[in-house]
Amino acid sequence: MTWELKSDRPIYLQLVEQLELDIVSGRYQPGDKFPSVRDLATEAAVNPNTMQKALAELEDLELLYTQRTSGRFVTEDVEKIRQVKEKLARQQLELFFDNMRKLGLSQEEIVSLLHTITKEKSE
Amino acid sequence: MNPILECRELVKHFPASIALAGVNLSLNRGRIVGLLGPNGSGKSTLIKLANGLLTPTMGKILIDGNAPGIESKKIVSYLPERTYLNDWMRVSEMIAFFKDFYENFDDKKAYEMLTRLNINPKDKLKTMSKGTKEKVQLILVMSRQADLYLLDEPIGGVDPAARDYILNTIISNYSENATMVISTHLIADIEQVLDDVVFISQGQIVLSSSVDEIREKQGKSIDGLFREVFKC
Amino acid sequence: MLSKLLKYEYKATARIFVPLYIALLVFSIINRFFLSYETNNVFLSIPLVIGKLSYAMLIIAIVVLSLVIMIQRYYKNLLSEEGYLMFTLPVRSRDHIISKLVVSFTWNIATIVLVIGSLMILLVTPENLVMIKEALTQAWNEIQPVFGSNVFLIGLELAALMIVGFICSILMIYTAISIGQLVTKHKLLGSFGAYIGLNFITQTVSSIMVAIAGFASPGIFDSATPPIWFIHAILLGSAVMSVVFCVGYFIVTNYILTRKLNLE
Repeated sequence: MTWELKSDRPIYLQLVEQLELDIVSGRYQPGDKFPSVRDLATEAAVNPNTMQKALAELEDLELLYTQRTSGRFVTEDVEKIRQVKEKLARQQLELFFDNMRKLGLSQEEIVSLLHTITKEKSE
Repeated sequence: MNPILECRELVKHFPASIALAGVNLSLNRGRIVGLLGPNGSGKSTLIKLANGLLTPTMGKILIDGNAPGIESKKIVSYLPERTYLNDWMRVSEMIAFFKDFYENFDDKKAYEMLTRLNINPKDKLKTMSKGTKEKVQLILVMSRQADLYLLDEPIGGVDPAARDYILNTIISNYSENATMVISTHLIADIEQVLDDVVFISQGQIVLSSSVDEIREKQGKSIDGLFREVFKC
Repeated sequence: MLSKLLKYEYKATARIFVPLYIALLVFSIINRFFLSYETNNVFLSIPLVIGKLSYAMLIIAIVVLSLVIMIQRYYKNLLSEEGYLMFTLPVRSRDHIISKLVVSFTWNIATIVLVIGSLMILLVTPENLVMIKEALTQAWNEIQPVFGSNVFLIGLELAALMIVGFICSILMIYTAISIGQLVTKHKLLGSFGAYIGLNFITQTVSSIMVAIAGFASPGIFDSATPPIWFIHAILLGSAVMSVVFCVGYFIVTNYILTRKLNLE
């Protein structure tokens, strides 16, 4: 997996986004044990302190929890994960709608185009 | 807790130049710090002073509260820019040498890293290419369980794959108790590994900040900020 | 830490000296056999000549090398690139100086012993042995009555003086090299200049001391042999002066290595 990190935004925020994605997409299942800070930092080629900060943020978001002796785990609260998934999906859709409107498409045209493409994709 | 490295009005004069003109710096444990500046800015001088290879003209430099000396040398691991290993030894003998003089040297770790890089411990240093010697040096330095690592241009003149390996080694050797100071002018490559950066120019500290602060407050990368600050 | 430094210093130098010493002994044995063969045959005499030539060159090489290695170890290991390694070891500068000094001294003594030994292997025959014994006994018979029971003491003092003098000359070389490295642009020139300078100082001080000793004891040179106490005084005085110089050189070198070190 490649970690694409931009250089003008704080790294820890980008890590949070990437890890959120990993969790909602199912790379890490609910209840899975999360890799150690060191392993994640090495994989992402970032400073362990920065990765630590990102993981702390994910705990605040209640996507991860720490069990004192056994380490970090993905939350088992499936509803929570679904909520985050929906939030991220909505963000993408908002972006999508913005872009479509910039192209000058109306609401109906957008929906119709979506139907067509969805049909194409399932063939 | 003492900061692991502290400079108080540190001044260093040479017959022909003023290398450091009053440096004040305080580095805490558990940080990876970039010491960034153009050539001749005083980076190497500062690092040599921390190693006790130079003595201050004025002011103080303290390692964990002590002036550089035998006690500080035990807890400082230094990777100089040049190769400093003698020619006649084999890699395994060099490892034995380090193990002999440094209590906190982990020879098992050293051998593991050698294997991973396909370096034969029985090879004589004399027969190795410059690049391989540099890797051996890095391995020796990183196999020490030190409190302060001073790496002077660790990735300059090294191929991209080796560069990745070096950064990987730096990250995986990180410890909360230790601090790493990386002096370099190849900033874009190591930016995401740094906690803090210190910009130095003409013997003075011009900026000292965390990487996140710079990215958040200024919306720039460290590399971008560096180019701005040190515009020719 | 000093013992560790000594260990590595011996290792680094033994790999040069030991093979040479072995070669020397081998060649002295070979040449000893060759000595008993005289031949007019040109072809047969070639190995004889080569043997003798090699032996002579070997001796010269070993003697020269003892000096060269002594200088090279100090300069290369401490004041060039390897200095980055040595001076970041948790070791006092004075231990670096002492380890180099002890090891240089050892090899120089070893060279002397081995060269004499190899010459003996080469030349000593039962007849020679008798002649040498006779010569030594004769020398002893001439010296003994002059010095009486003091012979051994004087012998000891002489030996001590030579040893201290030897150590002094090694330290003087180290000091000259250290002073040389203070001169940033011309280190080699600086070292040479320092060596000449230090030599000059040593000679001057010695001459002054001898002059003082001469003036302080008038009439001392009237008789053929000076009184015993004078000889003791000269020997001990010289030894003490050498020790003072040794200490002085050591202090200067140590100061330069601790406070004025500037590796490039």
